[in-house]
Amino acid sequence: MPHTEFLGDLAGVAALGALDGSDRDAFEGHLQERCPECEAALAAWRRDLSLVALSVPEVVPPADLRVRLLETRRGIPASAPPRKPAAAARWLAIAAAVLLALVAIDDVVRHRSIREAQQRAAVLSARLERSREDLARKDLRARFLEDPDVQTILLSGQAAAPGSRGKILFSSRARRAILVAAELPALPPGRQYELWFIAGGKPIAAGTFDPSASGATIFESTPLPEGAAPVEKFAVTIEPLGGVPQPTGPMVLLGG
Amino acid sequence: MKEPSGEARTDDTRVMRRIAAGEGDALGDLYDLYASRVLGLTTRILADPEEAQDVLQDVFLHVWRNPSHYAPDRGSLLTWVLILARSRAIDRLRSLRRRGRDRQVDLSECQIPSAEDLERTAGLRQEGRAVYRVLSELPPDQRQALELAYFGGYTQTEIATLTGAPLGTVKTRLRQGLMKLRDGYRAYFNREEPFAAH
Repeated sequence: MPHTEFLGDLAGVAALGALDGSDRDAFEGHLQERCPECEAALAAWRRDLSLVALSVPEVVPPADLRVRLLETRRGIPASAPPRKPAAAARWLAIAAAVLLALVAIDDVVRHRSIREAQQRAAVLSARLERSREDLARKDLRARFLEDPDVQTILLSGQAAAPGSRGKILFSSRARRAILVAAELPALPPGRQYELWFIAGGKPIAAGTFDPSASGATIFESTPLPEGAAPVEKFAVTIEPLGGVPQPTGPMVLLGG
Repeated sequence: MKEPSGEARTDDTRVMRRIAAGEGDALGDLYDLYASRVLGLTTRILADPEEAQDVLQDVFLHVWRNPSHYAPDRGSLLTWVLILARSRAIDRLRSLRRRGRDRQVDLSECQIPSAEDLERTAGLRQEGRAVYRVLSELPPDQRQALELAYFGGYTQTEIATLTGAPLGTVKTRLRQGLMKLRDGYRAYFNREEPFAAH
């Protein structure tokens, strides 16, 4: 692909990492064929953009971090408890399989009841399943925001939070909604917001979330169950922590 | 890229040579120079202090293990470290986001500066204050698009969906915002191209 002004103009957005779709394919394909002009432009934009990093306040690290860094460098294990790394599925699968085997052996060796051993194995197994689910969501979520069939539904604040507002981005194909909301009030301890699909006149629970510190929120719902009636409305209510199967609390947002 | 003072670049080369030679003190020196700025950036991107500190550690360990990745002719050491830090922080953010564990985006963060903002910039070094001023003078739509991309790791299509603007409009905002950012740097720094000073 020969160099064109169009491709050169993409370098800045590419340096931001914000290209997607055909623009990204075009630019990456072009780079693979070695274009010194675009490579130079990309590098120059990356340098310029790094100055944006200086426009936010500095944060002084805690003193022990420097100590831990230098100890790690020396290959000496840090004295602070190690941070849990982000779990990769393969690592988790291997670790869980080993743990399951060890738990079974360990419990039998220590003469614990077989039943207790089975319960512990079940907990580990459930954790493994959740992380597999998380990874399966990855592709779905990555494509969701690019779906041209996504519908936008505006929500308005109800009596319990008249200043709040929001919109739902709903993909019937993905059977999921993303809520973008602003001015949601902070909640007392023991309460969370819960999102609802209203399908066939009946509310279906769609997940719970906390408002961010400044009242603005983005939240992705749980899937609409297979076989549900068409969704007519969306609502957000205040519920006990962890949510409830049917709404009990005051409504803050409604639309449809 | 215009060279900053020859001295600054010599300092960069010297500390990296010491790191390549395995001098532990050199890593400490580098950390003392840049850790607060790196942590400021990763905190802005990740919000969670533990995640932000994790990435800070990763970045300095990466520098320790790969001193040959720094090329003095391509920019200052601080620039290289900041590019590394942003890249790793955005990777971490996108990974958390896929698992539903990121903090929620606050679209209202990208706003016209207030008295609070100006007080906040008092803590920035001179260069940071200049960049902050350039950003605050961008049209709000352009600034928001740039900040969602730079600090939020969102793509142009995701920004369109989040802000409700057509994709074409977002592409234009990003392009124009980038050009204005560069023009602003030139005006403030009165140079051909900006650089990151120590």
